Amino acid sequence: MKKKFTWKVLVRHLVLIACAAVILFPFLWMFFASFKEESEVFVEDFHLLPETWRFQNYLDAWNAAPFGSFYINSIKAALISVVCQTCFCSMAAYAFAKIEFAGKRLLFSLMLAMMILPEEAAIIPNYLLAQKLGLVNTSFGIAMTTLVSVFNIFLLRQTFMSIPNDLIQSARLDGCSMLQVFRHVAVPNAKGSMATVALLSFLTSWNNYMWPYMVTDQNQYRTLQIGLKYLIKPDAGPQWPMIMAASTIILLPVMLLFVFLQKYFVQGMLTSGIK
Amino acid sequence: MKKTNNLSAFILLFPAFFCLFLFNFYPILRNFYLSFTSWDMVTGDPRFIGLENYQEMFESRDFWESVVVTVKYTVMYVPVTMLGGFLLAVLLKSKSKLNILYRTIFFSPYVTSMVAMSAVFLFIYHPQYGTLNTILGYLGIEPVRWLNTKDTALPSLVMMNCWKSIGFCAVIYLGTLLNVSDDLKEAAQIDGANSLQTLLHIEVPLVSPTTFMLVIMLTIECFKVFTQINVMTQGGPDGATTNLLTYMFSQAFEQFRVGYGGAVAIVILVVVLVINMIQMLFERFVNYDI
Repeated sequence: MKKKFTWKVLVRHLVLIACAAVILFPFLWMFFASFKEESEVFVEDFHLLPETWRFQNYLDAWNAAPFGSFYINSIKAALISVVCQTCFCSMAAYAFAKIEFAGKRLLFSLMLAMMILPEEAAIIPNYLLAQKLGLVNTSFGIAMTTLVSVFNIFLLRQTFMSIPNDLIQSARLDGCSMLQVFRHVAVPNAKGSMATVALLSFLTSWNNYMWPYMVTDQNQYRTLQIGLKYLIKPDAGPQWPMIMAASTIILLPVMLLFVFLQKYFVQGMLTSGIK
Repeated sequence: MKKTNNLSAFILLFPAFFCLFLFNFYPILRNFYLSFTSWDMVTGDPRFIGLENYQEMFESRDFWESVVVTVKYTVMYVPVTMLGGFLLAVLLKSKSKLNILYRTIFFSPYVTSMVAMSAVFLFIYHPQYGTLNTILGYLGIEPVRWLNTKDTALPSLVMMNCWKSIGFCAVIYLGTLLNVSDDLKEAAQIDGANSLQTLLHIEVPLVSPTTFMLVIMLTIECFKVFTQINVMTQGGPDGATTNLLTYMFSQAFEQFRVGYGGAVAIVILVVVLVINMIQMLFERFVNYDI
């Protein structure tokens, strides 16, 4: 099909470009403001680009709070979450997809029911539990509410179900146990979905706010999100460029992951919608 | 044979169910119990007081105000996000390289940290130097004190949330629109329908299952909004942005009224469950077979 220039196409692109500009604007503003002088931010005119590029803001941000340990805490919690999610969810998903066992339907509906329970209703008792188990101010405590997600089990179950039974049968005949089949046949055949689950878990953990906010009460144990929250004071006049620099530091890993791996993100999100 | 199957299934299922039970299911049961008690989290044990928390809650003005805030939030957020997302999806509906770029851009707010974006929007909404007021100033509009007045604070938060989710909605809608065959549309065009008519009479009905699913998803999302409020307004000014979740949080962890906070949590639980029930009940009525 040949593409012809029409006014309709032009208008369509103009509208899309305008929308893209609105969507991108906060990111661009954050990025450029992070290099500005304080006096440049507090002007009543609108300038997107900084006049002088002040890299010092990033050092200021890094020194204003223990960002090094925030980073390590965020990465630790995310790692725990990603490892548990990919292992535990894929195991459960495989059992539901390919193994016949007693009480399968009952367990499956139980899990369905758990999917619709809002975690917000569990947050007070979870805090009390974390306190009792001594998990307050620990990486495991921060990760504990994101160890398994029913949605990920569903996503992986879908993939495992598409693996042909013959493949599994032949591995069984070759003398593999059920668990060996899972490890050596099922998992290698579901790499794409495993990557999606890992990525979504990382994202959830990295951006998690309410729970880490509750379960940490000392600066050195906080994650990046919570650390940033304590830097922001709605009326903090002179620190805006520094806060924008800190925000950029936090967004950067996620944005890079998203740009390079967006195939997996969108796939995962779409499945989450279609279910 | 069967025995070994049960054993391996058990081994595979145990870790996931253990975590789900310990950190999702059991806490909710415990929350039910807590909501019938009075406790300050520090001294002694929870003391059973029956329905007193619920009675107090239903008589409390603050509680009902937080319900109103949550409902207002939903009423503003869901239609705007859906409509914006749908229109964007319609614009994006041709397969070209450029559209993938647009899609990436529109989707990007959905994966970013809400805390960082709250910081940016705090400045965009700044009453004196904020970008929004500067731009409105060029158009001759008086500066608005976005987050600082009772009337504008909630809409400002909703606007930011729409900015975040419209791209997500667009991508979901796009998935459905791309699966719809062009036959019906072409037939309508041959019958003399213009673009607007085909949009209203062909595409809108065809995506109605997606619309329904998104309404449910976005509505539930409104009951889980916490980050932006906590960072940007702390529920203020004067309670104008205290939704149910923020109210629960402040009661349980700032006033140290665990039982009362638990009762508010139960309200959130019940509402979310009811919305899910509605979805299950009505799902079959909005499906169109093509």
